[in-house]
Amino acid sequence: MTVSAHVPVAGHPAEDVQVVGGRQRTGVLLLIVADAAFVGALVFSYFYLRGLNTSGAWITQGMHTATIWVGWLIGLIAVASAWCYRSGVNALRTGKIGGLIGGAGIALALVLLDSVVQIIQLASLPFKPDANAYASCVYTLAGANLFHLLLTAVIGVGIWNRARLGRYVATNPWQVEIVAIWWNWIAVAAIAGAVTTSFIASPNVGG
Amino acid sequence: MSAAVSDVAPQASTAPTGGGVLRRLNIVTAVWAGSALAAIGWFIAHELWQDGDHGSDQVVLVTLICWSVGFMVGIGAFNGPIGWIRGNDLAHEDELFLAGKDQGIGRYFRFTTDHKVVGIQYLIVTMVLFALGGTLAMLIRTNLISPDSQFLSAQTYNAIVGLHGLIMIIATIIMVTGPFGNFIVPIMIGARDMAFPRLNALSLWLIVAAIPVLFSAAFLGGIPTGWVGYAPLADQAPPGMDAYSIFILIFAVSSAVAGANITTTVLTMRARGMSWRRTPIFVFGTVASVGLALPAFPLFMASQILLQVDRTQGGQFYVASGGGSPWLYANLFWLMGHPEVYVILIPAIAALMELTPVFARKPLFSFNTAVIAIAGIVGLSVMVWAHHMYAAGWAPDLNGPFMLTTEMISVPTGLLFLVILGTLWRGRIWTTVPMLATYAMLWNFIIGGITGIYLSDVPADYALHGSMFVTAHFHYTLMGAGLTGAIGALAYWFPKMTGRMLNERAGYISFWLVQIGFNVTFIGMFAVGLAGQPRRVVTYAHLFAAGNLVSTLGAYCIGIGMLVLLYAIVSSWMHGPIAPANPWGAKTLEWTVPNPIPLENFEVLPVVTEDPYGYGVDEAFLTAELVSGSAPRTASTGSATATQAEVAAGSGQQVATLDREAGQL
Ligand SMILES: [Cu+2]
Repeated sequence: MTVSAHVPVAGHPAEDVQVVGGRQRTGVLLLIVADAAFVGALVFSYFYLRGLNTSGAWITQGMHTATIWVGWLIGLIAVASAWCYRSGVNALRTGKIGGLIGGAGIALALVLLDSVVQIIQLASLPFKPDANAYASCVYTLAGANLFHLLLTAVIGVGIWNRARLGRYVATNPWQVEIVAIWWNWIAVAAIAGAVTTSFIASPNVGG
Repeated sequence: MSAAVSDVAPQASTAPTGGGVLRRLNIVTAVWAGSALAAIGWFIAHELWQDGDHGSDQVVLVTLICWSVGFMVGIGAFNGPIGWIRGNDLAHEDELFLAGKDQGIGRYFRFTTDHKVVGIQYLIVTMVLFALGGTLAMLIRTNLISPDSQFLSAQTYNAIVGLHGLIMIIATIIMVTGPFGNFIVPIMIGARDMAFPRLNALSLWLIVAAIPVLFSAAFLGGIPTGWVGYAPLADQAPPGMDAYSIFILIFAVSSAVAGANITTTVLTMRARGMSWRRTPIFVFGTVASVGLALPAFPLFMASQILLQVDRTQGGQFYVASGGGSPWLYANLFWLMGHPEVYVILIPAIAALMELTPVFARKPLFSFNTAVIAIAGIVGLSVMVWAHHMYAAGWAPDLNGPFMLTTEMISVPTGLLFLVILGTLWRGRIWTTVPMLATYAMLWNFIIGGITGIYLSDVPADYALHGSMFVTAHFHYTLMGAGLTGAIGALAYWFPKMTGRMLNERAGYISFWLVQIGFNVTFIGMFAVGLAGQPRRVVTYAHLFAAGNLVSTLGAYCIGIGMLVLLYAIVSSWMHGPIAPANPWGAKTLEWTVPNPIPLENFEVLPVVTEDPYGYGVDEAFLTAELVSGSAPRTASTGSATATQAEVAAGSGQQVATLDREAGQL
C-alpha cells in the first residue's frame, strides 16, 4: 500500500465535530444492537416457554397473574419521558439551552418515576419467581427493564447537569442527540416488555 | 453508555500533569478495592441469606459481583463516567496521561487507553489463559494415559474438563482480535487510536477482573457441566456454576464494548483513500469476528441471567416440572455457540490470508472472493445452531434443514482455502515461521472441516455425538486452524509489536513439535472416538488404551513445543535482534510507522492510493516507508535485510526504498 500524499499536521488539530459526533453515534447504535439482542433473548424465552407449556406448568391453575395494565403504564411513562427528552433536544437545536435543561429535567423525573413504579410492581406481584416459568419470566423482564431505567436515569442526570453547566451549544448537539437514541430505545424495550407480558395463557393447552 | 469524549465545552481540569485521581490507581489498588468490596459483600450476604434455600448461591453471586465492581472502581473505570456526569471533560494533559505518555512499564498496569498498550495487555492475558488452560489439558491427558489411572479423582477431573474448555474458548475468542485487532488494526487503517479509547481499556480490564472469578470456580466445586454449562445440570451444580455465570456476564459486556469499538473504528476511521477494496483482508476478518460476537454473546449472557434466577431465586426457566425447559438453554447457548466458532476462526484465517501474499510475493488471489466468503460464513453461521441438538430431541423435523445449512458452510469455507491456495500458486515463497502457520492451517483445517461434515450429517451424528470424535474434530478447527493462525499472526507482527525479531530457530522447533504433537494427539482421539469412547469421562474401556496412550504422548509433545514457543517469545522480546520497521517488505500501513511506534502512530496521516497487495513481478521488492524524524536503522534478520528509509527529519517527507535481497525471494 503506497503512501503517496500526506496532510502535514502540527499538533493534530481537533477533528471536526460532525466527524466525531457521527462516530459516537455509530458506536452507540452498535451497543444498542447488543442490548437489543439481550432483550430479544428475554422476550424469546417468554414466548418459547409459553408455547411449550412444559408439564402444563407455564402458569399454575388458578394463580393470580400480573396485572397487564401496569406493564403498559410503565411503557407509556417511558415513552412520555423519551418524548420530553426529544423536545429538549429540539430546543437545543434552536439555541434554547433552557429548553434542553427543562426537557431533560422532566424526562429524568419521568424515568425516576417510572423506576419507582417498576419497583412497586416487582414488590407487589402476586407470586414469587419460583412459582412457575411464567413467574420467572415476568420477574426477569421487569428486572431488566428496571436496569434500563436506572441506567438511563444516570445518563439523564449527566445530561441535565452538563446542560445546566453550559456544556452544550446549538452548533454541536451530537451528544444529547445520541442520548436521545438510547432514550427512545429503552422506551421501545419497555413497550416490548408490556406487549410480551400481555400474552399470558399458553396456547398449548395440551401441555 | 456513550464514550463521553469532550464536545465543545471548556476544559474544566487544568492540572499541569493531568490524570487526576487516575494517577494513583493501578492494578494493585484494583485488587485491594475488589477484595475489600468482595469482603463487605460476602459479609452482608452471609448475614442476610446464608440460611435460606439458595443461600450459598446468593452469597457467591453477591461476593463475585462485588469483587468485579470493586476491581473496576479500583482501576479507575468509573472515573470517566463520573467526571462526565459532573461536567468535567478531559483536558489534553489528562488524555495524554490516560494514553500512558511517559509512564514506561507502569502504563501496562493502569487504565491506559493507547490501543498499542491495550493490544500488548490482551496478548499477555491471552498467553496467561493459554498457559493455564494448557496446564489443565496436560492434567487431563495424564489422567487418560491409562484406562483407570486414578491420577485425578472423578470430581476433580470433571471440574478440570469444564475449566479447561471454558478457559480455552475464551482465550481463542480473544487471541486474534484482542492483541492484533487492538494493536495492529488501527495502524493498518491509518488511524491514531481506536474510536473509543476509554472503552478499549474498559474491555481489557473487564476481562482481567473476570479471570479471578473464573478461577474461583475451582474452589467452589468446579464446573461439572463441561464448558457448555447445560441445564438442568447447571441448575443443580455446586456454586462453581455461579462463578461461571458471573464470568460470562462480564465477558459478554467486555466483548460487546470491544465489538462496538473495533467496528466503529473500522467503519469511520479508515485513512483517506482506503476504500473497502483497499482495506486489508485482516481488517475484514476482525470486523466480521467482533461484529458477529456483538449480537451473539448477549444471548449467552441472557442464558446465564436466567440460570441465576433459577439458582438464586428458585426460578423455573430450565426446570421441566415448573414449566421451564432445558431446550431453552440449549437454544440460547448454541445461538451464541455456533457463531462463536467463527468468531474464533475468521480472524485467525484472515491473519493468515494477510501474511500469505507477503511471503508469496503475490497479490491476494481474488480479494473479492475472500470478502464474499467471510460474509457468507457470517451469514450462515447464525442458521446452523441446532446441529448441536440433533440428539437432544428438540424439533427433529428441523434436523434435515439444519444439516443442509451446516453443510452449506463448507462452500464459503472452501472459498477461503481456494483464496489461499491461489495466492500460493506459483509464488516464490519465502518460508518463515508465519508462512509455516499457513501450511499447517491448510492441513489441519482440511481434517477439521471434513470431519465436521461427518458430524453435520444427522445419522452419522447420532452415532458420533458425545464421543471423543467430536472433541478431536473441534480441536482440529479451533486449535489446528484457529490457534495455529494466531501463532502465525504473532510471529508475523511480533517485530512491529515488540520492536524485535522473533527467534527463528526456536520458532521452527516449536512449530514442528506443536504440529506433530497436535496431529498425533488428535488422530489418536479420532480413532478412539470412532471406536466409541465417550468424552468427559474419567475412565475408559481397555480397548481404547492404545489410542489414548498415543494421544497423551502427543499432548506432551505439544506441551514441550509450547514451552519452546514461550521461551522464544520471552527471550526475543527481551534480547532479540532489533527489528527494522518493515522486516517482511509488506505493503500494509502498519509497516510504515517506525519502531518504536510513536504515541499517535502517524506524524502525518497517510493517504492510500493503491490496494494493499500490489506485489507484482516488477515491483516485488518495492516498499514504501513513511518515516518521520526517526533515525535510520538497519538490522539483519537472518533471512532478509531491510534498510529504513533515510528521511530528512521533521518534514514528514516520504521516501520509497527498495532494499531486499532478491535471492531471498
Ligand atoms: Cu456448531
